Amino acid sequence: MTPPNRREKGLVRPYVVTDGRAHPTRNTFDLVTLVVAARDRPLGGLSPEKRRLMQLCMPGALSVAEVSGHLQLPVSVTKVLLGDLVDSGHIITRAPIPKAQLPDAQILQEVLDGLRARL
Amino acid sequence: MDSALASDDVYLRESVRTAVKLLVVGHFAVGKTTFVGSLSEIKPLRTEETMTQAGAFVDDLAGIKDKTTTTVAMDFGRLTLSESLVLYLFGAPGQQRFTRLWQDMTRGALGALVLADTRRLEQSFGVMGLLEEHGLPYAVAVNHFDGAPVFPEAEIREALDLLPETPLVSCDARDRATSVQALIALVQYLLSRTTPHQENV
Amino acid sequence: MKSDIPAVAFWCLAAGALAVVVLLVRQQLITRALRARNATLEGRVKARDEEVRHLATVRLPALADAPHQPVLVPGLLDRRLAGTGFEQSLQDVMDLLAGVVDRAQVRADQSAKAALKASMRALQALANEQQMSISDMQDRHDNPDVLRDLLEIDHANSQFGRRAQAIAVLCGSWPGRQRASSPMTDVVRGAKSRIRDYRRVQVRTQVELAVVSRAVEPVVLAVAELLDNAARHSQPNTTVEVNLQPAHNGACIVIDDAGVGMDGPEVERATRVLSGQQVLDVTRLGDPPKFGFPVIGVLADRYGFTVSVDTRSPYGGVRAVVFLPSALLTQIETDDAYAAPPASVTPSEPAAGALPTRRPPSGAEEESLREGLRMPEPEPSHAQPQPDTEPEWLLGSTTGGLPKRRRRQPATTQPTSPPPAPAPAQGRSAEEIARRMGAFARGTRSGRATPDDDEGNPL
Repeated sequence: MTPPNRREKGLVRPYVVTDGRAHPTRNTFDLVTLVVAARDRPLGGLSPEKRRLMQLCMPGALSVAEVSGHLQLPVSVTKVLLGDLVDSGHIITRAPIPKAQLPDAQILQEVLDGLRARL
Repeated sequence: MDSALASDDVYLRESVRTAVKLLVVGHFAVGKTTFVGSLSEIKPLRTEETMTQAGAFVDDLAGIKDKTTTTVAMDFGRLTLSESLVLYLFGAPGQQRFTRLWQDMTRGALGALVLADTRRLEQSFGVMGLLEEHGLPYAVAVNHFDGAPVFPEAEIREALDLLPETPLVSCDARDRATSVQALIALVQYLLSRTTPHQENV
Repeated sequence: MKSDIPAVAFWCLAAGALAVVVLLVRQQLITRALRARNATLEGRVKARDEEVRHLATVRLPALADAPHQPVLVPGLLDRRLAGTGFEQSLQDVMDLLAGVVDRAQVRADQSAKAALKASMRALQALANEQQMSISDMQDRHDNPDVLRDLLEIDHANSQFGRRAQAIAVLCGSWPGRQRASSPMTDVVRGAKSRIRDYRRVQVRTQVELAVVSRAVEPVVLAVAELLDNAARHSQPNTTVEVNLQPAHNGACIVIDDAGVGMDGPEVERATRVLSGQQVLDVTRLGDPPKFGFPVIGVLADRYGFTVSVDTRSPYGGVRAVVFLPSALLTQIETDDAYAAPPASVTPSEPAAGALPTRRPPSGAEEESLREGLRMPEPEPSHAQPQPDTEPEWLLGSTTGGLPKRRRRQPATTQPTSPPPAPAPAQGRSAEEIARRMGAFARGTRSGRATPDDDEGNPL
């Protein structure tokens, strides 16, 4: 049930991971915000979790939810780390549909077409 | 870099620009994980994991191990629908006590698919009520379990007090095709509602 | 002849007088000797009295106070008694008492340890249980305000758990948790997680080494005590610096603080305690009890690492060095730490496993209602969340036996559809049916409740 490569989840507590912070520096992350790592930034000086996050996001884009799942960190903690990394230019985001915006017909149509193509 | 990470089934295509989300909701053991799993192009990831033996006590501190199974997981899956569009499915627990979590998850969601089990239909009532309170449009998919009694659609509609326009479909969460059909029914319904003044998500 | 008589008488008298004198002198001598002997005896008796008093008031109490340190117990008051049977008897009394005190102390220590150990383990279990709940909540809630509160609770709980764990270890318990082998950096940060001033602790260097599974928790606990000590004995505005260094046959965790440091005797005492060789008496840790170093000593001794505090840090305070021998180290598993974890539990599969027994609801009314309702399937897991059945939403059942509900309105002001008309069912008023269904739902719920379902959530 527990593969040997599993990180000890409960060992380093989240407040150590975020240095006691709970609020991301920016409030722009949704579960499906897409993030990708900037390749030209040095990783020196980053905390182990941020380094892992960068390594994870280097090869391609992932959603915040996926990053959180891969790193085995709570979504809210992941967002704090992502906020810092966006600030320092390490992470680039592709914004999801803004919250308040109506799901427009064009996107729904695209979703529908995509689903139909998968049948 | 690890080779598994570089493979395409982990990362999104370069061209993807838009991500949308749909919720898959329902009570415990109704088939959310199976549903998401049979549709997702990535291995089901959980943003939350139960603490497993690794964190459990080795000696006789009783009562800990039993606790490890109580967690209700939020699983999610991913479907790349086009060069530029990706759909995320989030399986959300149906328990009333997760209302707070709901507010976070429904934010930005296009809609929800309610999975129901006719053998314990009443367990879906709470989650449907929550969706209605949040004003999130939904479709209902009856997940067919082997040996479960089959009811006429009208009777299920009556039991669930569905609006005439709310889609009600049948699916087998283990089967990809019927699961996609269920999502199609939902999205068609969402599309039919896209007149600006109706929505207040 | 007549003249001879007086002479005879004289000689007789003289002889008599001489005899008397001799007798008197002898008597005198005897008396003197007796007096002297008497005095000596009296002196000896007095000395023994004194000696016994000395025994009762000085020697025995000293012995009772320090049974393991014979040098501190005074000897005889009167050296003249040395080597006598009397001294031997006194020694027998002393030995007897020493034995009694010793046994009593061992017993007291044992029972104190046993009581403390049991209590601390109970607290430890609660702290761990609470940590799991907190972790669950942290995972579940995607909200900064909730997270902020959870982080605070988590932090307090971690310190609480560490205290209980430390005392339990002092009392002979195991550190309690089996962990996977973990990178040294994470071990130090795990230790950092358990102290109050964690934000002052800076881990400067990383090494590509991991601590083996069985040593993770002990090292975490020992380092936590050192970090806590370092933070407590230095100014709040200073940092506690941690460096990790590979060393010959092992690796070091070096902890530097900018505190006041320790003087010679303090270092000596600390070194003795940290060696773990000293016999530990939990009843004598002081008030407030100082168990930090003793805990480290016990762990170091038991798991085979060493801790020294005999150098000064470059910042003026203490430099603590934890040396982990190669036997406690392993390579960091270089596989991807972020590979997708396997979906371990698939609760969505129709229940097929072991089914717990479920007590059916009781009561005639509920029985009659059950006829019109399919009973929910027994749940596949004993520790799953409560099914979410809002009794007031239940509105009887359809003709085919499906339970019915009433649609809800959005919490927001603009309804998306006209309000549905409440449909009275089967001659009974909706309220009455709802009430009865509520009773039914409560019945099934209480029947399903297991000891693990302690959420106490009124649904």
